[in-house]
Amino acid sequence: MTALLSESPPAAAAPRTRPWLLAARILRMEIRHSAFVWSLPLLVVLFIFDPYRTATSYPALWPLRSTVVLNKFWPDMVIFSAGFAAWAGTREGRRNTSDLLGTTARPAWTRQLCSLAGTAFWVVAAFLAGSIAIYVRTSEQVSWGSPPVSPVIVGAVGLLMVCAVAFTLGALFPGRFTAPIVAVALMLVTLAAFRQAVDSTGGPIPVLSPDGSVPGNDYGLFYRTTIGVPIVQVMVFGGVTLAALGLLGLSSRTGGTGWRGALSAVAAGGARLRTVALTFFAVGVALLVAGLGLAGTATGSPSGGYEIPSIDSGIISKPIPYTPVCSTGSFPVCVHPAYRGYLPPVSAAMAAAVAELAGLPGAPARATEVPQERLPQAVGYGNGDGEVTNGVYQFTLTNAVALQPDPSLLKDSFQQDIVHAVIVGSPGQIVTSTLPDGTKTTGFQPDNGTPAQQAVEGGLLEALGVRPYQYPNPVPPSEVTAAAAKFAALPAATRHAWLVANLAALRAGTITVAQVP
Amino acid sequence: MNIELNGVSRSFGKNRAVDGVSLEAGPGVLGLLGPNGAGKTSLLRMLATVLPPSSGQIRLLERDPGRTADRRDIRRRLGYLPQNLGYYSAFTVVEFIEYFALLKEVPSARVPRAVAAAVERVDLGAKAKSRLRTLSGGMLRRVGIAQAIVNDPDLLLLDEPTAGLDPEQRVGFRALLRALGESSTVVVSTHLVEDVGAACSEVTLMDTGHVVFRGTPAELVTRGEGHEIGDAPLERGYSAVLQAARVSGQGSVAA
Repeated sequence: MTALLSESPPAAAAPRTRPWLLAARILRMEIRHSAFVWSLPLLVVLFIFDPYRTATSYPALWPLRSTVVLNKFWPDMVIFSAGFAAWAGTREGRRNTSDLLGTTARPAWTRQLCSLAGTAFWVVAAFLAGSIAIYVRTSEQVSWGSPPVSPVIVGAVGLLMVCAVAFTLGALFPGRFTAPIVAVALMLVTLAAFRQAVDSTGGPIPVLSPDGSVPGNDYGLFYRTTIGVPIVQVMVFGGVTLAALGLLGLSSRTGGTGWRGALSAVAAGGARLRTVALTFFAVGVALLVAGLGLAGTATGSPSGGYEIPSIDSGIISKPIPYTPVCSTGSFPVCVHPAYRGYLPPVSAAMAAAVAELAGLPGAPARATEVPQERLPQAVGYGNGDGEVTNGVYQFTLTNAVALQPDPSLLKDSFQQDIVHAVIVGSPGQIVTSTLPDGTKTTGFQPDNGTPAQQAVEGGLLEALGVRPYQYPNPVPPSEVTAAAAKFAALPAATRHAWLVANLAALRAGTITVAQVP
Repeated sequence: MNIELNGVSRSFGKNRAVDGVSLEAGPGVLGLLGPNGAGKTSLLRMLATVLPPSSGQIRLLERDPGRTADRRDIRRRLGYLPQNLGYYSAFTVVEFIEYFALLKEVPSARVPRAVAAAVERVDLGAKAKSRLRTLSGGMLRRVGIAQAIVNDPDLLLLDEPTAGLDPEQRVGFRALLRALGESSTVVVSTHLVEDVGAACSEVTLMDTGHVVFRGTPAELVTRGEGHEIGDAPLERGYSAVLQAARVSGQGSVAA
């Protein structure tokens, strides 16, 4: 047995193999046999009836439509990705091939990475295909802008994270029930993060949740969107992915040598793959910690989401240059080019209302769309569209785009608001009140005008064929409604002549309902 | 020597499955016989480098399997068929064997030829494109043998290789074993003494973790002369050695 104590002879010359070529051939097999393919028909049906239908029902604006990628499509993909990745991870345990595979020369980690990549390939391909379908349909309908790339990148990296975590859990705890448990667990984590994002309970979780944050429509059109949150999300998701892959390569339960073996191998300067696995894990944890730290500094953004001050400083308020598109005619209306499709109905609605108001003191001579934040806060609170400033009706389409499916609602909304702006003025005011327990609360108090103003406004709207406002107490609605109907029944020239003579007094509140002709 | 074991033991909890086994083997076919629980499979798993010994020294193909670089080199030159072959049912015969050829780092240019040769050697050419889930138990066993020999191993470890094979296939397989044994060390763990008699140049008999006999099949037959238990000469030798070992309180018994 002296031979047992002797040194090993020099290793035989390693066979001429290109590791990447071997890995590519194994990967091709794994892609061909990935069980995820079986879920594709169901995913296609789900995609058509949920994300795609939702996206196409939204107004054709890139910032709005692209939110569907993360808010609808991504959560749909999570449960499938997690389930099938975990299923692939449990394969060696379920199929009892651990011993057989354990005798092969390729390290277990490379074999497992190929298996994971086989599932991840289909997951990312399906996600990209769905995102492209949404974007292609949107590109056929939008009139301005370019497709935002960040939701697709964040979503793809997020799904890679889901696959890596699920696969690693499957490899660490192989069993028949591991895959469904992991799929449901990761879906619940996603839902919990979404809930926190919607409730804005603070902390880094709402910032990191891919779904749940919808920026205002003006962002991405009038102002640049934040880039800090997508960067932090990619950092954290990428960090978790690398850490999970490193853990897969290090754990003795998945064919690695365990932490102690890896550390000693790295210290000895050998075992390249273990060094790589340990590096993956360390870099992943570092990215995760850095990302969480940055997410912890997030503040609420005027865009409706979050901004990371150290990354987004100054970006959010930076306007995007654009050339407005305008209607021609006696009452020009200008809108952002992204809203080009809204110009004909909006200008038609305004022109009809302005015909009743032309020449009146305070009536606008033209209209132009502005970002919502340029309007008084009360306009937004009152769900209004705009106000008259220096003879210009400044309005926002942010609220109106939600009415797009019903053109009559769009027309009613604009005519109500422009008539209200001329006859009454402000839509209302923001009031702060103190509750019995001492806490202060902010609310909107609408300014419906005096009963005479309501009657005149109602009459004008009735003449325009617009459903009138619901008038509040204390004036009996029937009295105002009757006066409005009487005013509407007057010839247009008579109404206009009365308004020319009496608008100043009407706005001053010195005219009663009985004085309205 | 392709196999050198010195006082190798392996315990699972309080159970000592392999107890102080010392063994050397060069090219040829070595039959590993023994009753259930004798420690054959544990010994094979240690030879296959998937199970480290609790104590003792192992050298395979003149290398130390405890060292990473050596272990990888051993595994390139190793073929292993476990008792219970796990497989991926959606893979075809060729894909499954190619998968193992790639994992054993067979040079990529040689893989298609090596896979085709392995498929032919186990006579599965007609089923090469069939998915594994469609194959019978005997055919799956042949697929297992094919994956074990696809890299032309210098050390081939087969645990119950003929289980599920019909008599004709078994005869063919014994011929394959003899051919492989001309240049490689082949260790065959089996319950079937006729396989040992027909294919093995040497026999090792284990009982309760110990080697109780080491010699040629002819020497094992000699040990059974006059013994009444067993239908065939080898079976009588097998039974006689086991009985003698149990009476004497076990330990290595040389021929």
